[in-house]
Amino acid sequence: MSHDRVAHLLEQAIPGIPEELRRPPLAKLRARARRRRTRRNAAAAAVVTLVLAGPALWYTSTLDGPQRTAPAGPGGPAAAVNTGLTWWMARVDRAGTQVTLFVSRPVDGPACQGSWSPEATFATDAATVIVTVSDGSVTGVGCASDNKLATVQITLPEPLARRPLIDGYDDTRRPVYREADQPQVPGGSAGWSEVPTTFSAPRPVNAELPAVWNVSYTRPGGPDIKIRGYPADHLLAAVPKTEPVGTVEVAGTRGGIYPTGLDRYLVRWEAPGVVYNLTVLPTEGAYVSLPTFRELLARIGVS
Amino acid sequence: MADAAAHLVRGGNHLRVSPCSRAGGVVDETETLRDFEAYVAVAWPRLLRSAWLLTGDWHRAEDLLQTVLARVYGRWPRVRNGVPDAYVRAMLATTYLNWWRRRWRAEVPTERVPDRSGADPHADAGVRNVVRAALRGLPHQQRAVIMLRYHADLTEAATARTLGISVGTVKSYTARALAALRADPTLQALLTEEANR
Repeated sequence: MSHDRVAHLLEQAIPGIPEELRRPPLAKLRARARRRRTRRNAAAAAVVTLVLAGPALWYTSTLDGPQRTAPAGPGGPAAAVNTGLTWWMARVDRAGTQVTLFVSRPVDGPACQGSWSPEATFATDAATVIVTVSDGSVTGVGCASDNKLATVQITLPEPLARRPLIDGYDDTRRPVYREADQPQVPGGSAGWSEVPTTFSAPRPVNAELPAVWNVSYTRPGGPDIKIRGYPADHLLAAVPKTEPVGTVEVAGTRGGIYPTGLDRYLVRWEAPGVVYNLTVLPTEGAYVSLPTFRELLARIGVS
Repeated sequence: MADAAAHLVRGGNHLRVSPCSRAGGVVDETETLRDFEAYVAVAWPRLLRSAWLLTGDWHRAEDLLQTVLARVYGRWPRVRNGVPDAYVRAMLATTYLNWWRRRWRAEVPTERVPDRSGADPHADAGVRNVVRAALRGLPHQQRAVIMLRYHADLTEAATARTLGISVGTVKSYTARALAALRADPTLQALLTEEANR
């Protein structure tokens, strides 16, 4: 086969470029080049600092009596940028101290290198809690193999209460879904069990950010209970256009019951920064009338 | 501008960059960016096709090309004076092999997303599919060599330098890849059929 024949065959083998990729993403390229330059400059600065400060640090450490310890708390935004991890939302347990973070690499982060080992550090004060996640793997820029959000847990020394949680990656407040703001669904043999939810990580081609909370409870014979949480500015957090058919109290907050179709209802209530919707899913073929819906709500402490 | 520069000189700090030359730097940077983007606007489709030959997937090809172009931008003043296409394609091959070693091997795809291609009415579907299948079967190094030799049109010596391997290895990879293409019975039949037309 001649050189030209092979070249021609290869040309023939390449499919047509999909419509969405035909034009170069110049804005993305500019941003990537800028980030690359920033990282390179930061690395150069770190090397210079190390060269200049290293001998001084070594000298002072040999003079000091008491052992020095590394400062506690987060690495801060710069450290997070270097490790390239962010978290999208948090679940806080009923006691307010166990915080579960849902972590991934940022959409426009550095190229993934191998598997990862996400870990978190935090700093608290009276007004806020800043949580920074980083990758403890050898490469420091690993990623998940299944494109799901990983969970990382931290335990706060005191309840979070109404303090906002800030992601140290970009100093931005993230939605917090507190169990204390949700009804306590009874477990055990006569109750429901929670269905574990996995959340997909955002992809560059599908950049919807994973900030919507979802938890379901099931029991044999149904009906299942589904609670969804939205950041307050989310499109689906808006008040339904239908008139409410009743009001209830959910975890100390007033909520409304809204019809969403034939024999379908949802309870909507608000908590700081987020909005919740609760629906019930009957078994196939069954329906839930308003009295049945109310009866079910009463069983989970919503009345 | 002249006043500010004069003030600096009067201050006696001759080591500092004067505002005039700093402004010149800004102009250069803007020009570099404009020049680079003009090149990318024109070269994007052909470079993306080269990247596809390596990855066999449009979205990975785009990701690979973006990564390479972001790197090339920092070197653009030097690159533009040579043969930018060859330079970018060489970087595509080396970055692809690095990614394959470090990144894609660690990722376990759960589901294969089909490539959505644009309209391609004039292509010969038979040959296209068979060559594509044969390419998919090639080891990564052989794909890189084939792309550089036959799509980037590099010589054996240049391909060897780019990938950091010997000319003998390039020859051997090329021979094996071509043998794989020739060995495909469907491709052989199609080629014979074409030759007899």
